[in-house]
Amino acid sequence: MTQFLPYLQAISAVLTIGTLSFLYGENPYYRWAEYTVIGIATGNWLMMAINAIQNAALGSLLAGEYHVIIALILGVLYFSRFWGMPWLYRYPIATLTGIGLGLMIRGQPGVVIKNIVGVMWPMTADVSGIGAVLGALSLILGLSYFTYTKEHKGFIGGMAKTGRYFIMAFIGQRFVGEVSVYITVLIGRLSELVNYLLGRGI
Amino acid sequence: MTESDGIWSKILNLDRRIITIVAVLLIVWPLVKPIGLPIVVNKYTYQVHDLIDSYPEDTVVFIDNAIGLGYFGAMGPAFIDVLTHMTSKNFKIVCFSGLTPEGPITFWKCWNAVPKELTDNYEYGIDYVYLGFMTGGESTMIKAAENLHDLFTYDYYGTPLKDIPLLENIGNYEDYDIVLYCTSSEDYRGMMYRIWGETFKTNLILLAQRAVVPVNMIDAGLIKGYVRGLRGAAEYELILKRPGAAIAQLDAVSMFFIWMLGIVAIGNIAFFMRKREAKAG
Amino acid sequence: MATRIHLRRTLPLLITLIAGVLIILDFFVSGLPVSSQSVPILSKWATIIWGFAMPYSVLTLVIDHLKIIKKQTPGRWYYSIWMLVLIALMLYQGFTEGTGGDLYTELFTYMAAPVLSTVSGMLGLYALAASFRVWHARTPEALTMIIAGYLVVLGIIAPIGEIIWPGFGPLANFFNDYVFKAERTVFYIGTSVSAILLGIRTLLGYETYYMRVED
Repeated sequence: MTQFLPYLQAISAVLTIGTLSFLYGENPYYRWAEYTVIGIATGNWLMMAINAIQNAALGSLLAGEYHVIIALILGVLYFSRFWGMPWLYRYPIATLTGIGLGLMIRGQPGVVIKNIVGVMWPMTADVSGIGAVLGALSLILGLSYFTYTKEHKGFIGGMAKTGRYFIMAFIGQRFVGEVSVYITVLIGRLSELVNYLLGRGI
Repeated sequence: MTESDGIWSKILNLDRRIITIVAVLLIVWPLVKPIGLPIVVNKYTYQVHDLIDSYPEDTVVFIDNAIGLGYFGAMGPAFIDVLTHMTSKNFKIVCFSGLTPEGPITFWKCWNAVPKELTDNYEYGIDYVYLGFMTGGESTMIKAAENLHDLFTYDYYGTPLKDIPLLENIGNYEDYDIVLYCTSSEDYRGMMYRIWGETFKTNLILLAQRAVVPVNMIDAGLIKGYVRGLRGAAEYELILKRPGAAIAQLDAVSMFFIWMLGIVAIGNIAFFMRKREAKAG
Repeated sequence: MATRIHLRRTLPLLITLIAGVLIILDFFVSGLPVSSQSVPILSKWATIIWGFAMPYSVLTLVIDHLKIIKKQTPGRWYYSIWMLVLIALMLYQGFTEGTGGDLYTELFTYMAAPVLSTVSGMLGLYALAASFRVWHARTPEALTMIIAGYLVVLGIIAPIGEIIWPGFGPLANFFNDYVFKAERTVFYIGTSVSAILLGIRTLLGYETYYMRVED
């Protein structure tokens, strides 16, 4: 705890109310709050990045792993825009893209297959008759809606149309799930604000 | 135009600001004066609790804390509850933050909120260690799983990893009995399923914001348990019999959603009434 | 000319392909020395290269705002000064007392976190206002969507639902355990297959969006 803590707590309350003022409309109070968070967060991210590079690269260099020099050079190439050779920026991006895609391609098929198996043969849910049949039906009908190789007419059309209902039900569930995610964040913040204003302590 | 038409149109054109300001007031009211609505504990919360309970003392838990500080209010209580449970069972804790630079701040905030009678028994470097933030996304996760000592040279305090007793025999996924992944972002869950769930097949417990459990991932065997944000935290507090912030905040969740369901119903009534009167007119 | 094209276009594409293929090979073919030795190195490189992305973004941001201050863009330049002062303050604190220091932590906790959480929370409030205007049961599908939303709120999210009727919980969980699980899988299959195909196209050089930088 520092001697600035009471002032910072007061500023946090002011910033929260300033941000909420955006509900009424754009105003300078909100803008000040917005620039405050950008400044503080940017400074933090920069510091963390510097520490991370130090931790990852320096130790390896001291241990004799000189290949990290190539990584450091590739990292520095990010800044090539500033010395008039912007195309060098492609090298670190290409390396990261290749690595990221490789990791994604190798892991994702297994996840998808396990998901499909999990719907048909669930490992944990009680395989109640109606539920399992409903789940399998829902999977097939939902997939038929996204099948574009055959026109949605006749039997396939009927399947796709029924699948639409299941998909819309899922979207409804997804929407309220998203709202709950954001609102719990706001409730957490307002809880701290209320506790501070009522002297209960943050 | 009839008077009724006017009313339904006026309702449908209700100012957005009124809706949101009423929502804020309804959220604040139970925070000022708690209502104390009873909470039913979900089977998936019991599943996480029972899973952690089934492990003996000195179980090694590897935690990736990716909770952003802005999301601390929603995710913090859940992480605090799980840490409380783990420390009460004397688990060994190895934690780092990949993906969010705010991880160090949220980790210490949560650790300091765990009851002192539990953390006083924990000695840094022997019972728990925090390694800090590391960039790299998915490659960082792979490295943490394959060779932790190759990923980090120092811990959060600058101590070389080789000087930390806890990490003498701990270095890869085979040494982690449980992997706990805490995230406030949806974007990175795909990576986590691929790495910890599919590639290394660890006992993965996910702590995330969404209140609806991703049952497909549990049934696929990719995760062994899921703590569902603020609601999950409140349920966990009930199971542990340690009421905290989450239970207090859940009344506000109820009030908000009652308002949401109410105005959606009002909006639908107004929509159909206006349509009917337009047809009749 | 040919060398110029190779250095600026072909070589980066080749790097993407080689890096990706090595990582995929290591997973599917065990015991190959070229992939098993290069993958730990590549993962390490990715960790370090990622770290440079943040300073680059920050530098770009700072340069843009210095331009605003120099031009004295009305209504903006004084906010830019405030923002740069805060960045400098965080860097000063970070270098002097470290990122674990008390003041550093307090600055972030009490000046950044409140705004971050409030902004995220306001998205929920805007979604609320949008649902009032948009969630009308115009069609049977829309009605299905609304009913599902109601069920999940009352059965899974808000405790008040189970007080109104205890059956909401088991009913919502039943639908989540079977129907929504299957639909989640449908979307997961769709997005995963698209991502894998896009990834393969990118590795083979058919997609070059990530290289869109001026020559």
